[in-house]
Amino acid sequence: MVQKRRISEKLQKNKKKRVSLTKSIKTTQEENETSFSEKKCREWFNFYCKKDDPEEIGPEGIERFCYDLNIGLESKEILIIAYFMDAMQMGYFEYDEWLKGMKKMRVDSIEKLKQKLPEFESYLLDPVFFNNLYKYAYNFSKIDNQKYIDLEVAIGLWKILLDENICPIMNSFIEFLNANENVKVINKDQWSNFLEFSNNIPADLNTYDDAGAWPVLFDEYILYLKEQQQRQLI
Amino acid sequence: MEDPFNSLWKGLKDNIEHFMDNVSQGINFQKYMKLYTDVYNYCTGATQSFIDSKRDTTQLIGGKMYNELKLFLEKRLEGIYNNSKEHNDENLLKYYSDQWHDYTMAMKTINHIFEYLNRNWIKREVSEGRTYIYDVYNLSLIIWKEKVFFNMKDLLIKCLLHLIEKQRHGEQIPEELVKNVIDSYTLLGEEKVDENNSKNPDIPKGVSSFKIYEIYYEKPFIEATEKFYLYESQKFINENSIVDYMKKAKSRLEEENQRVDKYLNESSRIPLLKACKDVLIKNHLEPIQDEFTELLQQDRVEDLELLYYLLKYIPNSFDPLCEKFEEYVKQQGLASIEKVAQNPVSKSGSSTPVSSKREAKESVNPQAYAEAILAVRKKYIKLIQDSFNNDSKFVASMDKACREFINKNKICNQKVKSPELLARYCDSLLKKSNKIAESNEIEERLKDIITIFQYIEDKDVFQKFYTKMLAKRLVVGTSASEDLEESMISKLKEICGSEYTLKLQKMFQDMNLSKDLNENYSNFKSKNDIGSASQDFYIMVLSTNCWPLHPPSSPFTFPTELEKQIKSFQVFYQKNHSGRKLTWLFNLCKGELKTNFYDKKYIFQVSVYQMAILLSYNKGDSYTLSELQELTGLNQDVILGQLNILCKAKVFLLKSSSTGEKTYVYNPNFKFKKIRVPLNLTVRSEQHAENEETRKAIESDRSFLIQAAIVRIMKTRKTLKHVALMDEVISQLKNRFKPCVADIKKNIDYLLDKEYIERKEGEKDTYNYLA
Repeated sequence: MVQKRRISEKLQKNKKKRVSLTKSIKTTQEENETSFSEKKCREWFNFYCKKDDPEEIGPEGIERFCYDLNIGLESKEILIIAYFMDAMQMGYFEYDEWLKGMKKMRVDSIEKLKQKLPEFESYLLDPVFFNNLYKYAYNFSKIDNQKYIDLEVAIGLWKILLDENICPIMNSFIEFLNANENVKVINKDQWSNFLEFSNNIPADLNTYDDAGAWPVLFDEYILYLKEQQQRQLI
Repeated sequence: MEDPFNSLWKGLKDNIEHFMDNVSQGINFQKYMKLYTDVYNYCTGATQSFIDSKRDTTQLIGGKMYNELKLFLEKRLEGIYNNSKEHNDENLLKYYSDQWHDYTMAMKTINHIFEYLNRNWIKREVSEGRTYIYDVYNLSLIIWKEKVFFNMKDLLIKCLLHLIEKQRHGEQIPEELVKNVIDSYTLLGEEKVDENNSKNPDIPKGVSSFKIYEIYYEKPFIEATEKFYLYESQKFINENSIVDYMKKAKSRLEEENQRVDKYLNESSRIPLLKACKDVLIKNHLEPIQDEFTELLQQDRVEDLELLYYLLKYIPNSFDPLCEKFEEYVKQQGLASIEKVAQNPVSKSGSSTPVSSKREAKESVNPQAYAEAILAVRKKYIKLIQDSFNNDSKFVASMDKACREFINKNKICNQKVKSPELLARYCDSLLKKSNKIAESNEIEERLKDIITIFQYIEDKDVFQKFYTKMLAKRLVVGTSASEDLEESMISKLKEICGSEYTLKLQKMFQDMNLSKDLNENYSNFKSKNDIGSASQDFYIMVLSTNCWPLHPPSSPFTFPTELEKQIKSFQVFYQKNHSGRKLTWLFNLCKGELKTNFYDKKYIFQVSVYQMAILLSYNKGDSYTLSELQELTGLNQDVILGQLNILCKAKVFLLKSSSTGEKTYVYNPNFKFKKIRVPLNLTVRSEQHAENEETRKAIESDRSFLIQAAIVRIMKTRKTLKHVALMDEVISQLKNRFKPCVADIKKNIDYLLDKEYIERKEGEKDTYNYLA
């Protein structure tokens, strides 16, 4: 009991120290030439902001924004944009976040941003950028004060961020998660270790050490894989 | 003119020669003195004509005599050697031995005759570093060695070995003769290595001297021994059983050991026995080791002892045996437990009106289980004592095996585990209902339980169940003896430390406090005139922390007859201990009711719930279930359990009312063979649920303990590798239980999540403690 109480006190204490994970991205020569107007940026923001709150864009505004950019609501692009803004919470852009992000990208209009989009793919090839984005995605998707992200959200993010090239086990892992009724959320530890784990699964599953440091969820996944292999043998 | 020395020497020599030819007759004293004086006179220069005019008078005299003596001995021994050629085999040994005997005997006396020469001229020569000069006796041995021994040594050893081989084949041989010859080797002592013998392949390289005995006797002897046994053992093992071979080997070893006593130099004991063991045992190690399991299976204590006796000489030869032994004991344990699992022993006929047949289904009898384990352990402890000389390696293997089969066996794979069964066995011994009159015997059995307990990995499970059952014994008042209870607790304390038994001891304190409390309360009652003559009242006040008791699962309206007692006690208690909260555990209360309405006056021993039900029947003969529920306030599950007992005992008859509702009717024809009618029985389903709950509680306790251990460790270490953390957690908890790896990992996950610890940046298998 004492233990439990201490833990909850701890939870209170550790209330979100949000660390900025963003690292500025090198801007190319071209971008330096294009001028950036804060005024234009504000006007642009105003176009999408809430009727009742001029400092915030809500889910509806973001839907429109994506539509105008011709990108999906669940796309890498919107995630990267949010990452540049260092947006706190999914579904909402504050103005200062907006300004920060657009400034970083040196864009002040929908057209300029549209031109920028094709470059995003190349950012993803930079492992530092990718890892920061991956870490950011977890905090971004988490509802404030909650320690976990829902399984559905996590799966959605993985689908956006990863593909079979980066993470060959992705689909199989998602299948495992969906089959496992006990898993309802993904915690930070599981999220942040997943990529490294996926690259460290031995070819012979029997050599996997389930006493190792991986979170238990990953041990269970290996067990699931083993069972599947066995079933295939039969 | 004849040299005066020559005539002196001639006389001396003739006399000596005569003496040597007839050693057995000895030499008479006058002659001895004459010879001694001759030597003296010569050495002191008293014989004038000996003096060389040029000679310095301070010079000692003797060289000439020394040389003459040497020449004389050499010549004599050449003769002895030449004569030896007429003999062979045993006769040769006899000749050699006799000559040696006479020669050494004579030389001892002659040495005395030349004592003056020894003490002066020879001593001086030696002290001046002439290493080729010896005193007369040693000189004689060296000459023997050169003129006799070295010439004969090959023949001698051949004859000796031939005789010894004969003896090994069971023939009689003249041991005394052999001994005498071998003694001559010893007496001849050491030999310096020089060019003559440095080419001898028998002589170890790089030494300046060697012992005659070692090189010319021991070495060929041991080689012959090896050869002999190499052949014999191979032949014997092919033609006989291993056990017979082991017997043979043992008797051979003893025989060789005696051989040393009989006629060998003591220094040969170790090399000889080592050679024998190598050939007889080490060469046949595998078939002997392979025999082990079979001997175990057939309980052949003496043969096992023999096997142990032989193998103890061979380093590391027990290792595979210990493994086999461990496996065998484990299998024995498992088999013995399996037998218990297959033959559930039903409990003897119950003396309650409601005999529960279901009890017979009780899967395992704890006593039989414990006894099965003990029987196996006792058997092999005795075997280790009888056959393996209490060898600690075997004891360790047995302990390992016991730990294995006690913690993992057929019965333990089911829901009920070893520690729970042990706790139940304790309970049955410590209860009044045990059928053992002698407390000594109970004490013995408790000791046996402790023996098993020490092997138990999940000591926390035992603790949980033991506490639970102790609580019941104390609350229900079925504990047989406080002394026994205390003795058991102190035994547990000894093994697991005081923390383990803290709560148990607290429970006894509460019991004693309650005694005083009841006295005070009855004083209070009489003072305030609350007492009721027809009611006895005893109450226990127990602290919630220490007792594994749960508040009732059902609401309860206590009967008005009890109301006064309960309320007045509440007042009394709160007056003395304000601020303490009293929770009434009606589910554990019991009482006795005297009946007035049957032909006999029975005493019903009932639970308070039953009491409430029965008291209602003072006002009516029949109630429906819902009426009774309303009167007692009990929920349906609880009241049905109680009513079932009353119906089974035929206190009530179960009928259906017109509306189809269950109706309980007073049975005026109730009969029971005794006055006291025990009705306060445990409802089985409750018991099951309780055990289930206990098992679950253990799980959550363990998570808590694991987390506490992780936090403790991380707090002191600050940063720790995953593997090291796991190891430390296991070692910290091993006295309580053996945490499984997955459980520790789950709790690491949990603490990561709760941010007690974090993964070190860039090193996923290292954790940091977060303050």
